[in-house]
Amino acid sequence: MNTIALVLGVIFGLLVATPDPPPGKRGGPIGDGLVVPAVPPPTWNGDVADIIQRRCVTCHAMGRVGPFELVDAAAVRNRGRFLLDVIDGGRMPPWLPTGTGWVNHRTVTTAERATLAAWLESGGPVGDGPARVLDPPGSSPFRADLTVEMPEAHVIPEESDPAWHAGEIDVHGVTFSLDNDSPLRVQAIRHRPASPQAMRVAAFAFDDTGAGRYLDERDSRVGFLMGGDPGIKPMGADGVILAGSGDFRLPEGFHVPVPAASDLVTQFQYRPTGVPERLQERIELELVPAAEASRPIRWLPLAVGRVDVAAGEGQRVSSEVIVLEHPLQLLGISPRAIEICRRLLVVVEFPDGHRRELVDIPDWDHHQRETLRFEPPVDLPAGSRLQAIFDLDNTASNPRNPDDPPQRVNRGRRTGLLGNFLHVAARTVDGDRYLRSIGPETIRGLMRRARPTSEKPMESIAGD
Amino acid sequence: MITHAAPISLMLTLLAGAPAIDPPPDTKDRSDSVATAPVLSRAVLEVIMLRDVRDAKGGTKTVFPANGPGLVVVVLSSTTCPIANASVPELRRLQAAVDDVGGRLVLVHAMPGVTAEAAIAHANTRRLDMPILLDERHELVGRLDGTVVPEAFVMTRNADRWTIRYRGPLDNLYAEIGRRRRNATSAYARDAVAAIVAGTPIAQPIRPAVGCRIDRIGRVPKAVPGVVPEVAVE
Ligand code: HEC
Repeated sequence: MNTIALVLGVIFGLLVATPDPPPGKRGGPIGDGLVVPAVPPPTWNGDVADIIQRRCVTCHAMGRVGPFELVDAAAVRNRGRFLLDVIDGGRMPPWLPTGTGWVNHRTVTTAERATLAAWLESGGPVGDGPARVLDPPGSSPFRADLTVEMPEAHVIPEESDPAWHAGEIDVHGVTFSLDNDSPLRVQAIRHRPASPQAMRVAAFAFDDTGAGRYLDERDSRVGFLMGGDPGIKPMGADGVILAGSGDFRLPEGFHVPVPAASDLVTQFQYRPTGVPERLQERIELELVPAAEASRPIRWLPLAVGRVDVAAGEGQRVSSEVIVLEHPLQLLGISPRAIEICRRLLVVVEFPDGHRRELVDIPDWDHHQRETLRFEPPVDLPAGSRLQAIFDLDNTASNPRNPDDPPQRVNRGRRTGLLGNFLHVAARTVDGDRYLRSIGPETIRGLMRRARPTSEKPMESIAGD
Repeated sequence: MITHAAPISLMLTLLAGAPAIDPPPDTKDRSDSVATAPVLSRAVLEVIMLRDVRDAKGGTKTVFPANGPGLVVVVLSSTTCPIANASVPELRRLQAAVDDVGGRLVLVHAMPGVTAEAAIAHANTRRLDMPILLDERHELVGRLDGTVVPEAFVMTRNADRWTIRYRGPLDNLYAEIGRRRRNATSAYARDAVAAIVAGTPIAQPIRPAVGCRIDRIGRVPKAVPGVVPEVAVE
């Protein structure tokens, strides 16, 4: 390709959003009658199919979580502008945090977006040969060492039941008994939803206190109806999976420790689809092979247990600061927040005084929550100060406000109404002992306090 | 990002002497230029024949039978849009409300490429028994200037014209794409029907519909193959 064609290629790339002139007419005389050929528009077979395959098809294929299939040229072409809208709106693919360094980072690059737009602009040509039909990628390798499944289905209603807590989210809790005589070391968790299009999130907590079992037994249906946490341990403290996004998997050398005789308490978050759907979930656990050395992952909450926001007001609330007594490795964070939360931040101040945002979610959506994993893990030295900050927006201009007009939001789910659950590992036995106690202690602290915390947010970094 | 359904005045057939209706409070920001009365001539609307999905022979029907009821509610919809599908229970309630007052509700599939088979399968799983038509060439969608699904058009007939008394979302289940309430707190289209029957003003005759954008047929450059049918998905 000569230089002029290359330059034109760049210009074409910049012009993709402009309808005029029609693409077929781009080639033409320039300067002293010099004629260059038109830059061929991207094709489905040559360019666009690969992008959709990479970014969308895991979810938008038959039997997957997405509401329609995006496996052939017609399906993509017929929805062209809409796809661009949701990509531009940051809505698809589902991915909440800013920044890089994440495992499983899902996003459409600027170049990919430009190619898709240019393809649509030129009418969506197929290219050479028969049009490709995309296949969703097979699931990644997983060894199901232990499988639990709901014995019967709970019915997801065709629309949410208005009688149940206004302002709540649609959740159904299920306690799976593991019947394990000895402790388990969990490497990975897989969630198989019965109705992928209605299922959004599964949040896990292994429990040997009987709290989940108690709830399940009190409720005559399969599972139980409760938005809060069954015991001291927050739901999601042992991992959160966004349906369709793959497995919850720890890096080699780490595991979630599960005491003997535990239950797996799971909170399933669903979204009614307009028809009754079946909630009969299956969970598979992959265990660390007996001979392998591995370190336990513990949970550390940065949470706010109670909020009181007047109708029409915004409020910034922050968790207590936790000052680490031992060095830790941070593998991931599972954020959780109520609907009026707009922005969510986790900030660390290192002992040398410099600060870093560990997570910044500018546009929170609880239907897209999941465990966010760092690659590589973040080292947090002893003396590091950690805090979570939440911007609540209880105004009418917040489109996610469940109330219209806004109502006072005065709620306490003391185990962590707003929370970021850090998945951390210690480097020493003492460090691990410290970690085992600090999570529950922090939650007990929240439960003792009736008032919102007065701790100042780490302003200099969290300020807008 | 919100996908708004914006009325484009040029799409509407303007008629002098339209009946007085409450001026939509927000037409100013959204209409193109001319102040619009949302009025279409009967002569234009009633001849639009759309494919009836329940007619195995591929026959067509009009949304607005000349001797049919004077209250017609058109709902532009889709078989696969999650926002349209989430509104199905409210669609059934709207249909009941319209039936109750002797009106007619018609579901019109507006997404390019939807087949009669897909529409029937969709209607069966979702227990939809109203007339269902396919606007394959966007004839009605063009007249109504539909841009997203779902969108409801509550229309009344008067002499030689149809007036759009309300257009917008069925209810406020969605504030934006991805911004869904657990439950809707206002049923705008049903409220509009009730207001018409009661003879009271409609609170807000035009509201931006939220949903899946309709890729308009005829707006793709001519040189390329048009829309290819999709296989049934439900
Ligand atoms: C991790 C799974 C996943 C991936 C990857 C994904 N989607 Fe989606 N998509 C969904 C789900 C689930 C919904 C339904 C959302 C709802 O109902 O709230 C959806 C809905 C949509 C919608 C309808 C609008 C809406 O928000 O309901 C569009 C358009 C869309 N996706 C386009 C895309 C495109 C384009 C890509 C690739 C660039 C993509 N999606 C990648 C899961 C995914």
